[in-house]
Amino acid sequence: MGILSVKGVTKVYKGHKVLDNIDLTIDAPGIWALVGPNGVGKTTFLNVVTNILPANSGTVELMGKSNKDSAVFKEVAFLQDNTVLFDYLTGYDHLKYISDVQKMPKDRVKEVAEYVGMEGYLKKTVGNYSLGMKQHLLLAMSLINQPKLLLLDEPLNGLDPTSAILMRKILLELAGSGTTILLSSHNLAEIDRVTKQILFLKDGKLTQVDMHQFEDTYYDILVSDQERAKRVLLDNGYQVNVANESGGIRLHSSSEQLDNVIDLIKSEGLQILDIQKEKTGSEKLYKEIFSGAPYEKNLV
Amino acid sequence: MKHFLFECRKMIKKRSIWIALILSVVAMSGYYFFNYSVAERLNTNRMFDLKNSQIEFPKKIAQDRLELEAAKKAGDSAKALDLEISINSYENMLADKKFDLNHIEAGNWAAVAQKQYEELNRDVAISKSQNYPVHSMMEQQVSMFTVRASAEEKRMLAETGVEPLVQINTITSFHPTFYDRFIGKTLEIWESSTKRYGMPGFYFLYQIIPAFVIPYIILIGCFVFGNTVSSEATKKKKGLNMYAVLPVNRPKLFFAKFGSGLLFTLLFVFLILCVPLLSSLFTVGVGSLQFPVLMYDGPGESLLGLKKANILNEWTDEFHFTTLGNYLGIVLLLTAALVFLMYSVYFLLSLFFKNPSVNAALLLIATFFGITVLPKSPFNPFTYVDLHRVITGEFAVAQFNEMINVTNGLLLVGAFGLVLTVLSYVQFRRYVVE
Repeated sequence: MGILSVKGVTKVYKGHKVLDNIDLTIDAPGIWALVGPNGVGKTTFLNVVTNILPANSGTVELMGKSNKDSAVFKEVAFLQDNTVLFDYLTGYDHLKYISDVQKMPKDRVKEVAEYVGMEGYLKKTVGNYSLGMKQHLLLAMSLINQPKLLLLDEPLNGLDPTSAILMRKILLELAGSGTTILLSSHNLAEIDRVTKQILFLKDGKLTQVDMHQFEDTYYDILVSDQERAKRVLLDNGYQVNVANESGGIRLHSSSEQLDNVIDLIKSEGLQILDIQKEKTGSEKLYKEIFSGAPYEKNLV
Repeated sequence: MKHFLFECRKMIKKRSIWIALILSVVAMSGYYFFNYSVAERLNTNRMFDLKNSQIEFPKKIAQDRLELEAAKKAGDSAKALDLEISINSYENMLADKKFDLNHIEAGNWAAVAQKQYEELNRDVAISKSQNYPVHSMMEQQVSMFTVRASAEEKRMLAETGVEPLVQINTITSFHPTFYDRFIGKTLEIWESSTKRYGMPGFYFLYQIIPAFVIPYIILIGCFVFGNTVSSEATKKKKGLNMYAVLPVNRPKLFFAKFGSGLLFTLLFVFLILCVPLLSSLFTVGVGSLQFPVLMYDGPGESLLGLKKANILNEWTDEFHFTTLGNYLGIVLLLTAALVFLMYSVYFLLSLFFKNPSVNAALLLIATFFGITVLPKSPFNPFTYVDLHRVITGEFAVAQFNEMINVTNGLLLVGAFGLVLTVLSYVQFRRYVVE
């Protein structure tokens, strides 16, 4: 049984083909990121997948059942934008209703509120919530039924760094426990941290990319003598791409080589003050795809 | 049921609904107290007139008596005769007014009504004997049906002893009927002199029901509570999409949304109708449900049992009175059916137009069109919006169509409401929030 199966889905909106004969199959749990610029149709795609918007043609199956059957949402959840919330109700009202509809045990509301860290404002009306608080509530609403497939539309919108970290932690935990996650986001740095499976949406077409092939690891190393460190690493065949102004160097390398790099710097009698790791990939590919540069040779 | 309860909870928690409710309650109680103050002023004027007559009339009689003595001494027999007539007339009026004053002050309405009944009944007898109505206003005759109905109303008031409605003309307080055919200035004066004001709560309701107040209250109710779908399907508020990703089937969601709005509209209408009753507890109380309400029976059957004539006859057409309690009971029943009809129209409109003001305006136009332009037929559901004239049988008699009655109204209005509900459901199934 497929987790998500999209076959030949086309959606025309105001004369424009937003989704053009899209096929997508997800058979195994994991995290998939749906990426594309504003207005490209990411939300439309998720809405069509969940049958909020009917497709003009094609079929969608969630957990082996047609998306037209509302019963699929016993196992599937969709975190939408905060316009679906009722400002005059409390967070508790929302969660209690969904919990009742999903026939969950009574303490599930408390449990999930604690899990997403919103127990402090659970009984306040949503109209008084900040953007981040609303995002927490939306997440709690989508987690109540312990979904096997979780769709998220811009889940990082309006989140402060702490909340973004929490969101990332939750997504990774869910994926670890077997939940399949499909999220749309603009935050490419966050996407890099949670998944290597990217779905680029452009001109109504979906392109699936395994980002492991495009992954780049950089180390920003702050040293006591920038010039000497740069020279010794270049002499040993390392790519030192950028020497940053704060006295550090930017090294393009794999993690396996890090130990050797440290030894080389130490052997020169230099002091390492700080090391920061950065993985990139989706951003670079995103620029290539959406600026029109060729990328097909790298596709899965 | 949980969906229905959730929708109810949402209604209760909306601040805008509470504001609309409070404004409506204030408006209705304001209407009652304004009406009460007008009625109170009329009553005060009447009592002032009655009391004043007890001072002024004896003075006038004493003055006339002195002048009568002088005229007799002077041998002016013509003037003496005029003065004797005047004295006699004033003495009669003084006695009349004293009678009214004493009984009104004592709250003995039966005696006052009995006297009025006897006067009107005598007038009916005289009119019949001379085959010509004795009452007229500015050379236009008061319909004999009106005189007969007024006499009968007084008889019933005398029997029950309940307080009458307040009217400007207290000498002969006619019950206006649709048989009256006044025109021009006379019509204006007639309407003003026979306009009735209810001070007790039930009487006030009886006063305002013919003025289409209930359909207006229903319209406000629909405007406030009929947007359970459209208010959640705008660009800024897409609450409907929350349900779309839950294991909730469309029929259940539809009936939760439709049903909760309908229930709250019903409760709203009945609550607003209760406001005058509650307000009247601070004034004169709710009044008696025994008050007589005129019901038109139209032309009677001939002695041979032939079918009724299709011509109105003010001399012979039949009528009877029911109690205000019965009348209000039927009003509530028909009101419930009308709520269902108007709410169904509004709900269907709201699935096409998201602006509540547009929907309310369209419903108002549709209702107005249905009442005024479409023929008053038993198959026109808007005929029954004028529930007073349906219940009293006025439409049935005026249109010579006995099918315009409460039972048919309930069936037709209910059937139309049901059809519109089904259409709403069909539209709701295809409803998409973009």
